[in-house]
Amino acid sequence: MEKQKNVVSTGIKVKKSGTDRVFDFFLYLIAFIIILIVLYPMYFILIASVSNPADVSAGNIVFLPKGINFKGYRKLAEYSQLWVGYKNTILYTAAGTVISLIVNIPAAYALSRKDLCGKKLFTVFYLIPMFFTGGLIPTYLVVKDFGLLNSFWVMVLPFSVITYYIIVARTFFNNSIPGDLWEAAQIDGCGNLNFFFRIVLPLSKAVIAVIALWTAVGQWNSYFNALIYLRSPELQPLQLVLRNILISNQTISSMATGAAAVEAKQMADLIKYAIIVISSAPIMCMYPFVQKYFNQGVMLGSLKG
Amino acid sequence: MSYLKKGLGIFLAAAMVVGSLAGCGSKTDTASTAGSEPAKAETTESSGGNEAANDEVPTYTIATVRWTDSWPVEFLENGIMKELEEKHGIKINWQVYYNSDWAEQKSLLLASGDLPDAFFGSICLNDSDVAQNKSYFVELTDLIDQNMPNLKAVFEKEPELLARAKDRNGEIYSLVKKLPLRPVVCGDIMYLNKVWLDNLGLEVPTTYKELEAVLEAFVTQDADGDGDPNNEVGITGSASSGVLSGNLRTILAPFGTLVSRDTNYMGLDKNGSPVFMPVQDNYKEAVKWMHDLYQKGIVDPEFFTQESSMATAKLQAEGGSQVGLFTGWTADAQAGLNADQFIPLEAVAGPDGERYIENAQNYLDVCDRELLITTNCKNPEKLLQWADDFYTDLVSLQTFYGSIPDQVKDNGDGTYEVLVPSDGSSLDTSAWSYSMRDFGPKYMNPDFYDKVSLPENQGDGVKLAEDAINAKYVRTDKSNAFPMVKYTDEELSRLTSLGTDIYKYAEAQYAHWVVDGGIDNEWEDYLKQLDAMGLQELIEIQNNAYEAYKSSMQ
Repeated sequence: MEKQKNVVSTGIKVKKSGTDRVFDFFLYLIAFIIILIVLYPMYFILIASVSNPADVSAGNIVFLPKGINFKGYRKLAEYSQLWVGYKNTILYTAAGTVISLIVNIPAAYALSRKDLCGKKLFTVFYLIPMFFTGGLIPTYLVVKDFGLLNSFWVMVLPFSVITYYIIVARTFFNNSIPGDLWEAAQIDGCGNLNFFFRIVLPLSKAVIAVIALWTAVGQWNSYFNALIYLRSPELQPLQLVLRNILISNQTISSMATGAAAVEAKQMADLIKYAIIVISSAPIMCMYPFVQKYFNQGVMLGSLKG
Repeated sequence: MSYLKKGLGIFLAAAMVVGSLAGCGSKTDTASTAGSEPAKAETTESSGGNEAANDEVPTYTIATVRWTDSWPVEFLENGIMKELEEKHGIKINWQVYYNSDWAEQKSLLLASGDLPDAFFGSICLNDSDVAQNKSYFVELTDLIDQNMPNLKAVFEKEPELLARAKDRNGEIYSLVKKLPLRPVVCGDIMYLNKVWLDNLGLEVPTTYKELEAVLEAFVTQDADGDGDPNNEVGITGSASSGVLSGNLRTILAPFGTLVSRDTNYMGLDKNGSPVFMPVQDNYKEAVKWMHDLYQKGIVDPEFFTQESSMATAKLQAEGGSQVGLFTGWTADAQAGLNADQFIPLEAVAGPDGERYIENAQNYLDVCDRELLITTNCKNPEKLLQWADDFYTDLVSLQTFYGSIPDQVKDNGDGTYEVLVPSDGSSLDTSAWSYSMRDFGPKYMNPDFYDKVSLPENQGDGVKLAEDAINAKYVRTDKSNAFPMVKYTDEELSRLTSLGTDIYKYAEAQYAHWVVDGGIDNEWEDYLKQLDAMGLQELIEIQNNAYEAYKSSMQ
């Protein structure tokens, strides 16, 4: 093993020509630049969150924090709306993910079965709303008439069926659960339900993980449904709280007059970077551990189709 | 790695199986905890005025919009607001929206017809919203006549308010307000850096030429005394569509360029006839002067490009402001802790020897659309009787500063004292946190003003104290901003479509001429371009509306 490795690696080294090296150099250079472009804004937010807000707005912060202080974070601890939002987002994400799996995975499995009667019809039925939606106002009226307006459930129920996820999962089932398996299970006296829970699901961990992650990240980052369908402050998710801080205090400076606008804006300047850090930290911590599933997910959707 | 993957996979699969099998159990669980609050909200809502299930206490749903969620809204359920509800035996269910979300939510509400019983505050709906959705709103003339004695008395005293309430057909769709205890100089004024002035041993300027000389001295010499003559900024500003309008009302005002705050760039000339300011000769002179200031380094090179937070950072820089002159409502609103450095500047005389000062009472103090009743409202009489109380002195005081006894002190002898906030915030923030402040119906009789004392070191008190400096220059008939006139629905939609491009072009040209110069050569093309964009039609609409406004005042 050792020997072979050496041979291989030295072999490559010898083979590397000048143009290859130039090519490699530029490859690394471009990768490095891209990493910088992606990482710098995150780094900036991090240092801005512990810097003096006046220096941040004056543009004095570039690479190192200035006037390090944790006033923003301390202020955040008192900012009760943030913690309400945090609690809500966690609840929405957890419930939304579970519900999304419950509705999407069985639907996808059913569509993957060749012996499903009316399969084409169902597929078309699912596909149409993927391209044509009813539009915001009709959807709003439907949600309202179901009595879901301004309730916990509007965040997790109405938009849980996502055709794209169903297609991805169906493709996965088509390719990795052979029909023979079902026949074999039947011979052993296994019914449909048992087969699904005991054989299909344990074999589909990858696709379940992918869909769970997509939904979780989507839920964590979403604000629009909350903006439209929620009214009570105690139901607002984190992203909406963040949006309020960032946007309302931009417009407030254009409002009439007085010291109140300036004070509200200063408060917002103080906490805005800290709140971004706090609200994106969980999903960023999660990402390194799960990013390979994202890659898998993309592959599941495309290659095997 | 594969262990992790396997583990996670198994965990998720297990969670899913458990979740689906025990789905019912977990659902009721969450419902009982997270769902309890919305359930409560729903029950109060459904027992509301629409159902009239509860005959004794009619409930009204009223939507209102707040500038920001940093200010609490508990006052809606307490103090004077609660007293008024109890007095009239009604229950108000406030739907609070925030300005940042409101644009989306508003269009949804209007498009879906899912309306509250009323909209409270002129921030909710603008003129076009009302004009385009007139069928949603109740015409109020007769209802006011029967239910609102206080408002009727106000209309008799101040015909301007009646003119504002009526649309061009003479119909009334909304209630009006006039803010109490407001300055005569209702607008932004200039504040000059007195510390720098003293450092350089200069006099307070009285003409625009002297002002230019002072500012030039600021930027060429070491005005702040730190040894570096090049780190002073004369005037700063920030990129926003309001730059031109703001400049015309303040720094360029010596040229007689006062325009409406309504960003329609309309003013009244020396004869009192309406003009579109950015095509006037005095505007051209003003821009030339501004270009001079720019070339002399008085105007911040970042004037048209930086964010407002950067401009604020320069004004509020620690260890002393970096700016020599700024315009604002009060010094502390702009310069924060550096406010002490600045003195309010008496309006400087322009080329014609006149002094001009902004007077935007008709935009800032008087407004319609403060309460609109929708057709969803089952019993508007009671709601209007409630609203009528907002037109009394004591209620106006409390809906402007906060309730008695927490924010306003009743001295017992018929006089009242607005209290300094105990938490160290400004009076303005406190007023926005404990009252409706600028929004909602409001009127105080001028003879009541003397009975109210304001803290002298706080925004509103400071502004009133500074009135003495410039109040003598305020005029209303000519060389002044355009009043808030009423448009017909067609005029309004024409104005919106014409104005968008015209204003944007004028603003862009202004920035271009200040920075690059060349106004003399490009002026004719500019006028032609504006005419091609429909400027003449726009002016005609404004003229007609102005005529209608004048006749409605008589």
